[in-house]
Order: sequence, then C-alpha cells, then structure tokens
Amino acid sequence: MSPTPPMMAPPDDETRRFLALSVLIGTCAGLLVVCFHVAIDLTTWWTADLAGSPWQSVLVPAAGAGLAATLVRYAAPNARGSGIVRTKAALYASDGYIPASAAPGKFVACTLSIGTGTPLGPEDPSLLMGAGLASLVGRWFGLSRPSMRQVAPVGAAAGLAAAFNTPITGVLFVIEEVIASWHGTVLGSVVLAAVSAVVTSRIFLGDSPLFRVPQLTGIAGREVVMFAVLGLGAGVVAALYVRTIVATRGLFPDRHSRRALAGPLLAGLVIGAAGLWTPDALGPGYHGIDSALHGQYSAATLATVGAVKLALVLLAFGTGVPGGLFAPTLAVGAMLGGLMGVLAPAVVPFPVGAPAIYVLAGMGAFFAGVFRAPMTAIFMVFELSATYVVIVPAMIASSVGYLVARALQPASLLEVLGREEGAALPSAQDRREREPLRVEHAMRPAPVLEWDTPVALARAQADASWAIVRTPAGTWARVDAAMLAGPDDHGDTVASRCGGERLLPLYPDDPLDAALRRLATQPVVPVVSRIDPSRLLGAVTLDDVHRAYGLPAGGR
Amino acid sequence: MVSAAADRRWPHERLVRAGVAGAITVALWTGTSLLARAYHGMRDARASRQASQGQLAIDRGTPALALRPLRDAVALQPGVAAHRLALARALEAMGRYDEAITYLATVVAEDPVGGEANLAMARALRATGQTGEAERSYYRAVYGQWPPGAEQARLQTRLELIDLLQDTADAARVRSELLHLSTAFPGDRALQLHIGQSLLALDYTADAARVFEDVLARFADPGPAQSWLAVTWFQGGDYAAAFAAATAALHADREDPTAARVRRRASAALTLDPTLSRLSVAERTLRWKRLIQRAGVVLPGCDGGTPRPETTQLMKFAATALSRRAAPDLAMNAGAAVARLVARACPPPTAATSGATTTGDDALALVARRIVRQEPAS
Repeated sequence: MSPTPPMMAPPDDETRRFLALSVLIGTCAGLLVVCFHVAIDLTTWWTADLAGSPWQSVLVPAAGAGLAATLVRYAAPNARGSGIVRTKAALYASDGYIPASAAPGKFVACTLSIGTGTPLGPEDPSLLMGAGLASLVGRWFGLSRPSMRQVAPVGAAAGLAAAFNTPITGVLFVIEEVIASWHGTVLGSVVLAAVSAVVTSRIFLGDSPLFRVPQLTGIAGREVVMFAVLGLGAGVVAALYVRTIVATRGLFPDRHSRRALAGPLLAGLVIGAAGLWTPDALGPGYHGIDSALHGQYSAATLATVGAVKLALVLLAFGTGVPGGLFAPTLAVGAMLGGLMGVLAPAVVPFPVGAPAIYVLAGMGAFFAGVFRAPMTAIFMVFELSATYVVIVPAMIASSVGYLVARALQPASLLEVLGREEGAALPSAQDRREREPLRVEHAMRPAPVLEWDTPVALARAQADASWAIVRTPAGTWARVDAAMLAGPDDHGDTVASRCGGERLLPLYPDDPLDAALRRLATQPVVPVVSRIDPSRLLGAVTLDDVHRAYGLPAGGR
Repeated sequence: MVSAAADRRWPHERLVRAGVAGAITVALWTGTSLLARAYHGMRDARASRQASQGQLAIDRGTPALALRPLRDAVALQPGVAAHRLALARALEAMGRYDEAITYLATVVAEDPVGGEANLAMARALRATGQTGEAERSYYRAVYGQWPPGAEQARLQTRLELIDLLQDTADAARVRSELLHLSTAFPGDRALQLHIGQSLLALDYTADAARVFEDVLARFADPGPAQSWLAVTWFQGGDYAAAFAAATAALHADREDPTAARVRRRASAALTLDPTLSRLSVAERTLRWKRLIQRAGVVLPGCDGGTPRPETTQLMKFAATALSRRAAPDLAMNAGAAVARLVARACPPPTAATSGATTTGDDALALVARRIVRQEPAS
C-alpha cells in the first residue's frame, strides 16, 4: 500500500496558521543559529589562545572530537546522524516528529567539535536545529498530521538559510533535496521561514557574506569547455568522495559501542597533527575558500589544502565526529576549481578568466555531485558570489558534475546516509525524475456521434460497442450498441436513445489517477483538447487504465 | 471530531500557547542580543589585538611573522580596510606582490580614492612590471585622500611617480610632473634642488634655471643653488651667464669645486667664442680664424688619426679664409662650417661638472656646440 502523499494540503484555516508559524519558526531558528555561530567562534578563539605549543595544537582537536562524540554517545543520542536525513525521516516516516533533545545536543556537540578545529561544517547541524525547533513548535501548537509533516522542512530551510546567510539556497535545497516538490503552501512557508531566519541572523551578525569575492569579468566563449572539464573532474571526485565516505563509515560499523569513541579521538589527533602542517585545512573551510578566491594559494598549496581537507573530512565524518558536510564540500570544490584556474593558462592555447571564477564553479560542481542538487548548487554560487558573471560557468560545471557523479555513483550521499541510519527514505533524485502516468498514456481513439445523427447512420458509424455523443450544450454522453439496436420506425436520432447520464471529460495531460477516480462514477472518460474543448481526442476506460499500468484487461 | 466543549476551550488554550511562545521568543531574542553584543565587542578587540601584533612584526622588519595575525584580523573584521592594507604591506615586504595585489584590489574597490592603498597598489604593480597600471595607481594616490599630516607620504608618492616615468623614458611627462611638484611644494628647498637637478638631467635647462633662480630668490640660505645655476647655464650653452653664476657661487664658497670648474671652462669658451656680441669686426674675424686653426689641429685626432675625405676637403677650403686678404664673411662662413664639423666629430663632455680640463680642445668643442645650437634648424 502506498503511503499517504505527504504534501496533502491542510485545511485553509490551518494553512494561514501554518504560514504565521513559519515566521515564528524562521525567527527562532535564526536566533538559534546566531547563538550557534557565536558559540563556535568563541570556542575557536579560546582554543586558539590555549594551543600555544605544537603538542597542545594536536591535543585540542582530539579533545574536542572526543568530547563531542562522548556527548552524542551518552548524553544526547538523538543528536546523532545527518540533519537532512532526520528531516526527511520526519517528513516521510515520523509525522514531523523530531525529539526535542536533538537540537540542544547537536548545538553543544558541534560547538565542541567544529570550534576545536574539526574540518566539518555548521550548516547541517543548523538545519537539524531548525527542523527540531519547528517540530517542537508544531507540536506545541497542535498542528494537524499533514501540517506536522511539512513543518520540519520549513524549519530546516530556516536553519540552513541562516547558517549560509543565503535565503535562496536554503529554500532551494529543501525544495530540491528534502521535499522534491513545489507544493504552493509548503513553498510559501519555506520562503517565509528562510527569509525570517536570514533577516534575524543579519540583525545580529551583519550582512557580510561568508567570504568576499573579487571583481570578476566575463568568460570567453571557448572557455566553456574548461568548465565542462572542471565539472567532469568534480563529478569523478564527488563519486569517489561518496564511495569513500561509505567505506570509511563501514570501518566503524558499531558506533554504539564504547570502542567507537576511539575513532573520533584518533581522528582528532590526526586533525591536530595535520593542522600543524596545513592549518588552512582545519575548521569549516571558509577561510581557505576566501584565500583561493583571492589568488593567495599557489597550485601546490591548492592541491595540498584540498587533499588534506578531503582526507580529514573523510576521517572525521567517517568516524562519527559530529558536524556537517556542506562547508567542507564547498571547500574541497573550491580547491579543485582553483587548481584548474591556476593551471589552465599554462595548458590551454587561449586566454582564460580569473581563477576566482573556477573556484566558484568548482564549488558548485562538487556540491552538485555530492548532494545531487544542481539547482541549489548553481543558485548558491550565484548567491554567495553576488555576481551574474559566474552563472554560466556554474551552470555548466554543476550540470556536468551532477551527471558524471550520478553515472559513477548512482546512490547520493544522503541516500547512503539514510540507509545507514536504517530509514528507507525516498530519493529526492528519483522523486524528481519519476514521471507519473497521464491520461494520454491510456487514451485510445473513440467514435464520436453528433446529437442529431440518425440512428441508422449511427449504427454504421459506431463500429465499436459504444460511442461518445456530443450534445448541443457541449457536454458529452455515451451510447452503446444495445441502445442503438432497437427498431427505427420514425427516423429516430441518437438523442432519443441516449440516457440522461453526462460524462465528465479530462485532458490528455491530466494524471491517470484522475481518470481512475472518475471511472468510479462513469464507465468511460472522454478526453478533449485543451485548446478546443468541443474536440474529442479519445476516451479512457478501466481496461485502458489497467493496460497502461501493465495489468491485463480486467485488472487481474 | 472535536466536541463542542473542546471547541470553546481550544481558542483560549491556543492564545495561552501563543503567549508562551511569544514570551520565549522575546526572551531568546533578548538573550541573543546580549550575547551578540558581547561577541562583537570581543571580536573587535581580538581583531585589533591581532592587527597590532602584525603591525609590530612589520615595524620590526619581520613581515613573515605578521602574516598570521593579520590574516586573522582580516577574517575577524573583513570590512576593515586597514587590516587588509596592513596585510598587503606585509606581503609586499616579503616580495609576494601578486598576493598583495589581490588584497589591495579589494581595498581600492571599496575606497578608490584612498591614498595609502593606491600607493601600496602602485608599488606592487610596479614591482610586477605592470607600469601602466602602476602609473594610474600613483596618480590616484597623488590626488587621493590621505589622513591628516600625511604630506610627506604624498610627496613620496609624487617622487615615486616621477621615478616610474623616468623609467618609462617619457621626458615630457616627467618634466610636467616635476614642475607640478615644484609648484606644490615651494617651501621645500631640498625638494626644489632635487627637482632642478632632475630637470637638468633631462636637459630642460631653462626650467631648471627657473627653479634654481626661485630658490636663490626665496631662501636666505639657498645651499648649492647658485652653483647648480652655473652648471645649468653652462649646460644650456650660455657661457657668459654660467661664468657670472659660477663667480657668484665662488663668492659664497671659495672652495666650491663645481663652480670653479664651470668658471674655468666657461672662461675658456668665452675667450674663443666668435659669436659673442659687442666684438669688433676685426676681433670677431680673428676669433673665427683662430677657431679654424684650432680645428685643423683637433679634427684629425677626432677622426681617429686619419682625416676623412670631407674633413680634408673642408679644411682646404677653410685655409683660404685664413689669408690676410680674406673677407670677414668668408672667415665667418668657413668658421661656421668647421664648427659644425667639430660639433659632430668632437663633442664636448656631456656634464658641466665632469672632470674635463680647459684645454683648447674642450673650449673649441664647447664653442662649436654653442654655434651649432644658435643656428636655425634647416
């Protein structure tokens, strides 16, 4: 039995209430993210002052990762796992329920891990905090079941938008990756929440972007090839990245045992040691992206920082250190793009654009490949850079990156994580691409008779067992062979043989589900043209529907 | 199905719940506000501390140690241009000009008329060979905004711009900048002397003379201006003025070697020069003949010991002017032709302050040059 469609619209009164609550959720999520951001920064400063000697620099990340993992293991087990997966689980499986302890647990654990240098990002935790908060608000206000399902994605969008300081990205990601639907009410709520969250965040933290983008100029026409190549490279690395994450997490299968705490501790030690060599690989990675954008890294540095960052992210995330993958994914993509931007002038025979364009395009391509959200990737790059120049490169690189990664690694990172956490959640990628059957797929040609056609003529025209009759009022009726079969002494017309039943038509692009519902009350559904509703294109019967679904006639 | 009693109770409960939610939101907002205020204070203080630490490292001549704290300061306060500027200067000091340019580009984009940023940008661009861009940045710095009391920095910017223009061999624009600078800082004697010497080096002798004369008129202690004026006149070929200026310089300082040398060379030239005014016809003709005779001695040496055919031919013609019965005009024409030949074959030392001795050769060359200069261009 198929589950209840999660996007079923709530009643009108609740819709208005839901929209009002979206603003409240967005505002509170914004406040929570501001506190989270401040807590991470304060921890970072404190530990930076603390780490005077190299030994201390190695031990601080280890202590942070170990403490965070211990906290999640013993004190806040609900804070475990990916925020996106938890939000999708709330949407599809648990009627919007996210435990109240998830948000504070995630807050403290990720503050400890990210603040001490773990190269993971604060965006996914922010997303979960927003979703958890929204779930709590929904329960507090007694929302109905359909509304409760929708409330978690609304909070998630608010959390993500506030963390990135980018409302469009927050909205698009949730629509594209979590909901995979453009339902009007949900879209309105998500937008309201995201905007409220970003406005709140900007009131307290200012409207500075995450990193500054230098002035960019347009690209030459033939440089398009370079961005396709960049997308290709990013797609390959993204596929390997996802596979390696799966493999790394497989090395620590029993994260519920005490032994599993050794993993984060070990990861912290490695992170601290690597930080002595390449400090720019530590933390979420925005500083590194800024440096790459401003051409402060040579090719060797870009390769080193990118490779070290990639390895540390795989280690930290694989061993279960709390934190998100958004920022590190962007950072690795930036290094990849930057490397190409630096090397391209020496390789290609034509002038190429500024390396910063490659950095931004690389971010988008890698993000699209890992999260399978190309639209979000493109708009995120545009929103973060605030320049139109980067749109075309980002579109090319992200599209190619997405397609290549999908071809090499069919399951997205979120699907893999969802499966690992024991939830059979639907893939947003599949949902987007699943084409529902429409009336035109089942429709067949049908004989049409006019209202005033003589019965004798109608018998000759209607070669099937039934025919559709067009009435003078523009409605449709049905006449079958038995009705036409009687004696025709007075020059009867079809009108005298038709019953009073009128058939409601459908259009060819209507879902087949609509035809099935209509067939419950009428034996045949006329299919008419949208341009000229008096023109019959065909008809659909129950047998036609069965055939379209691959069932034998009669439905058995 | 909700009962009628529940329906009546529900709106009240909703209101209570909304009130509680509103109160929690207000409390959260207030708490976040206090936290954010403290956070920004700490952030600013930390940024200032890091910037000071970086500046200290630059001042101590260890710019490598300044990079980390200045990068931290920039990350903490990305909107503060001063941190980026300091970081760019540290990078410049380390010779990492390309990196410095990227930081400076951001600063200049935000404040296009900032004098300090444009000066730093100009230096970095010049160091990377982008002279055209560097020149534009220098101009933006010259006419940009500076903090109060930064006159010296503005002057330094102009001097660096002139230096850049000299590198690009654009003498006319260098002259223009030097004259602008002279007008902008009339009370700076050292600068005026520097400007005069720069103009003289470019052979703008009239401009240089004007600058030195201004210094002599403006300052009670004009320094070596009188001596430089003598050099200027001498280089311009006005040996009478050079002699007078050198004499005046020696009155002020009898040990002035430059003035003494200029006076000696000018005197020798003046005793030979047939083009001076107020000479009698006989004296003028005599000087022309003397010039021809000395050229006859000097020219074979200038031709490398073996006179060229045209030299021999000209000297044969000039010898006819040496006879007693030769007309004064013949002596003048022959002398002028010989002077042109001498000026081409035996040019005098370029600088008036060079160690050339007042031999007949030097005086002949100086006079020949003066005669050629006085001739209209044909």
